[in-house]
Amino acid sequence: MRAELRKLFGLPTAWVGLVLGLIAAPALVFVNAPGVRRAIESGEIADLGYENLGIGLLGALILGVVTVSSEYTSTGDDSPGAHQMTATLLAMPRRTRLLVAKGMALALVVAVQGALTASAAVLLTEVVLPEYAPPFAPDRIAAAALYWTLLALLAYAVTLIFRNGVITLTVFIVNSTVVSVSYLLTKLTPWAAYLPDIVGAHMFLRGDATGVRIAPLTAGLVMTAWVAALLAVAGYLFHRRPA
Amino acid sequence: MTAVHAELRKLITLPSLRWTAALTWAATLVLALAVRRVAPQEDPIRAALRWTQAGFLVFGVLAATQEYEPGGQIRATLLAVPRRWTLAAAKAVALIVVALALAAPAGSPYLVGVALVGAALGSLLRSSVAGVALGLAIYLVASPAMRARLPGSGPWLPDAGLAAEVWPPGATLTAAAWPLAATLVAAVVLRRRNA
Repeated sequence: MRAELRKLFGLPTAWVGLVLGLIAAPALVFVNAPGVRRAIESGEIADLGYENLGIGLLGALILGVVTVSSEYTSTGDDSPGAHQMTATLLAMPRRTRLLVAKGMALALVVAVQGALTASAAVLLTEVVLPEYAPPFAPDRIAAAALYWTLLALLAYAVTLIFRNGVITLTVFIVNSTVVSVSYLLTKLTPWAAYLPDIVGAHMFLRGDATGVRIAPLTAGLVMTAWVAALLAVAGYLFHRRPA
Repeated sequence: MTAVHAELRKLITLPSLRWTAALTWAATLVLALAVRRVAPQEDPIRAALRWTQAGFLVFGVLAATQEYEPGGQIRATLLAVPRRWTLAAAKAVALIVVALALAAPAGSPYLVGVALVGAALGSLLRSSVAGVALGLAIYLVASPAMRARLPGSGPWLPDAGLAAEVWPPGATLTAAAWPLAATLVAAVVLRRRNA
């Protein structure tokens, strides 16, 4: 576990993810402030401060991806077959324990990052738009941090399954853009509201952009179920496949 | 000409590129079907490409980073084609040809530009994950955010060509300028840097 934490903090890419995640959302509060003000004055009620968190998620995603993909990139040009994973497995032959340790290290880092970012974004909203900001609610911050953690774990599981960071990044970034694919799917069938990224957002967003409202607790449980299922698949494959 | 031919064969025969192309078009078709049911007034392919242009970006990145994968194919390539300007030009021409063929069903030369920017990012960063992350962040996160913040910047952003139905001269210029600038920078860096 400590080894995994040190690895994570030793990766330059991980720092990119951390900084990006920490800075992007609060920065967006400033960038979006005029637009949001206009939106409120025209009568639309937004989940102030919380909506901007979507962009910072990219940082969490990158962290989830690099925890795995760093183990599979080759160590040098002249030894194409050598992965860090082989060394890791020599040091820690029990694969399930290794996966748990990696997942815990990732979850810890992202949870702290998510909590910090969410608090910063909400507090900044109070500074920038004092008249409209929602009251500081620790439970919603916690839910947002949980959402980040679960999404990072989701990226971790998907990367483990495909062993390829490019696929995970593409799918998740494309899906977390301004108009997400999952959102398009909710227009086709209401069941799509239970896709992991949409259902998870219900944990801390109160506005109903999709037209379907899900209680925060249900949302959290559904998303946890998704993550658990994918992690189980990833764990099974990781256990079975040659490293 | 031989160099272009060699680069073309690389692009056509690499499995990862084939997969990217196939998945891109499969995703585009599925999304286009979805868009047609949700918003019949929009051009379904064009609307779906808002997301699946990511596939062209990934294609460009992978086309460039395959040289830097374990094994260091770039050294063999440079032994065969030591003139780096020639190599950069051959790579660009080969990618344009392949991307044109891929983008033909959509009828949008803008997508060729996306692939070129991807290739430039890939050869600058020499890592597929970093290239994909940066490229997608530019096209799918930063550009829409900029447009929402400063609507006036719309025609100057790298993804301006996607929305343009009829191309005014300004939009054509922007759409050509981004890939051109990116490719030039990548070529200069390829010329100056150690392989």
